[in-house]
Amino acid sequence: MVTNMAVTSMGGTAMAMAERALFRLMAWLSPSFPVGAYTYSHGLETAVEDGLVTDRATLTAWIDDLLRFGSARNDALLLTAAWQATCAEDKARLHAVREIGAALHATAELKLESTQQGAAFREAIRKSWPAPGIEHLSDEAGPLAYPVAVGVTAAAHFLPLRPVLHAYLHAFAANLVSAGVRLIPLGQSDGQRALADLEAAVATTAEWAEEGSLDDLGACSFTADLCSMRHETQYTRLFRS
Amino acid sequence: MALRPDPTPTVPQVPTARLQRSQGRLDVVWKRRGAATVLARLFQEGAFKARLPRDVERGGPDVALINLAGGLTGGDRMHGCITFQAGTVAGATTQAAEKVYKSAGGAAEVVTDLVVEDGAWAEWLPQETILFEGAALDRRTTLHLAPQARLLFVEPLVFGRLAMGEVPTALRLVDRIELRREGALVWLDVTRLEPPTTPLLARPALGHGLRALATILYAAPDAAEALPVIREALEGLPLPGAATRLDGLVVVRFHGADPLALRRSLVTLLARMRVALGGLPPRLPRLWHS
Repeated sequence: MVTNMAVTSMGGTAMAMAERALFRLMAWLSPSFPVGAYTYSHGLETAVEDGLVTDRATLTAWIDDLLRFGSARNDALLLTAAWQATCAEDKARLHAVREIGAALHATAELKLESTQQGAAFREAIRKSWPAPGIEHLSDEAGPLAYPVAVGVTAAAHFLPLRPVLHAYLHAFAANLVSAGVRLIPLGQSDGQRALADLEAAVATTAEWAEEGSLDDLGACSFTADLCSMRHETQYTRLFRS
Repeated sequence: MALRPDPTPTVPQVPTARLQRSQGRLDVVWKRRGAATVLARLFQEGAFKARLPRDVERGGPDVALINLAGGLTGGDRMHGCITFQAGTVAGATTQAAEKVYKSAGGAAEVVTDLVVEDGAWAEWLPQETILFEGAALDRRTTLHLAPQARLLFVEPLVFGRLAMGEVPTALRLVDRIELRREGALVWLDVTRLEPPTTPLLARPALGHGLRALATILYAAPDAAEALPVIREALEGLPLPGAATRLDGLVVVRFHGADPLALRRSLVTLLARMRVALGGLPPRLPRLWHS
């Protein structure tokens, strides 16, 4: 247990659970964690191209919708289910969650975005943050959705669910704000104001998903999905999704 | 027929104390006889009936599903199962648009299983499902495909009685489509819409004002080659549509404000897809044109 040795070596006192969780979540869900988040726009590149997202207000509304009614809502439920199955050491349940996570994608590029980040997250965790329990990520059960990878890893490190959901959804929102800042373009302070305005949507969805189950899956982000489909044939593209 | 789900009811009986609601069950099996596709089984129970419209120019027979109750409301339960045995060419449509009325409690439940065996060409071409103000619909569609099965699938949805100027505010919809190949889950799509309907459908990332939408699927081993063909078939339609490809599956989506433009787009697209992908005549069931 390399990680626990690191914890206990800090001045001889164990780092408090909450601080340890905060440290790890800030590491794993920071833009510098090597999952390549900055290469994905989740269809936003087409929404900007089409004039659906033009400024800070429309960018905030777009991401807010994805958090409350779109794929991020489903991601949060998948993360919860993966975390719970890992905590319970329920392999059959985790297999079912992985299967659903790999199948629940509206478009090819949204699937690429989720499964490429899931695979990259798994590799980085294996190399740098190993813990008993992350072997659940490594069987040959097919593509690994990003929220499932995060949920399993967090449970393997005994992190409480709520802050994990919060950190995941924050990373989702911050990544799209960053994409919007580059695409529209916006100034850095507008980007930060957009992120500040998304705090409530992140909190609401995190709180809701903590009590939710896979029976609650579902989205109505029709336009965003259509933008993602159309991104596949967009002439000039900076982003992979 | 390992693929075939149990055709017995999967829904529990409604408690007798409750208001009597409509129930129906339908089980259709198409089989191959010589070069032709013929009916092997037709079981109908309750409000769910089928008839067999003749149209020799379609290239295969169709079954037309009928809801004798004239619509659905909360508490109704309909279960349909259609099996396309190996090598068959057949379709299923509906006699009319399906109306989902205001619910007095609970959702109308519609469960559909389509079983498509190797070498079959199956078409699921129902007309629109129209959600009236206050409607609640819980729909579960499972597509059970063999590796060499081909399925052309459409589900058009309309939000509100638009011709009457109805503004939908309180629609409840859970529409779950599950595609399984040899039992393994390949694709899952869950549309979930809850009140307040109109403000949500107005939001740019959600409906952007849409009142009608359709999901078209082409599930087949040649999905990769079909994607550019389908993209070409989308050109010049009244509504702009878009397509994407996942494992052995092309998904097409249309969104619009006008159900008529949606229907026209679907008629043209589906006819083009029949020709280009199935080598079949560019013809939809006649009920689509009546």
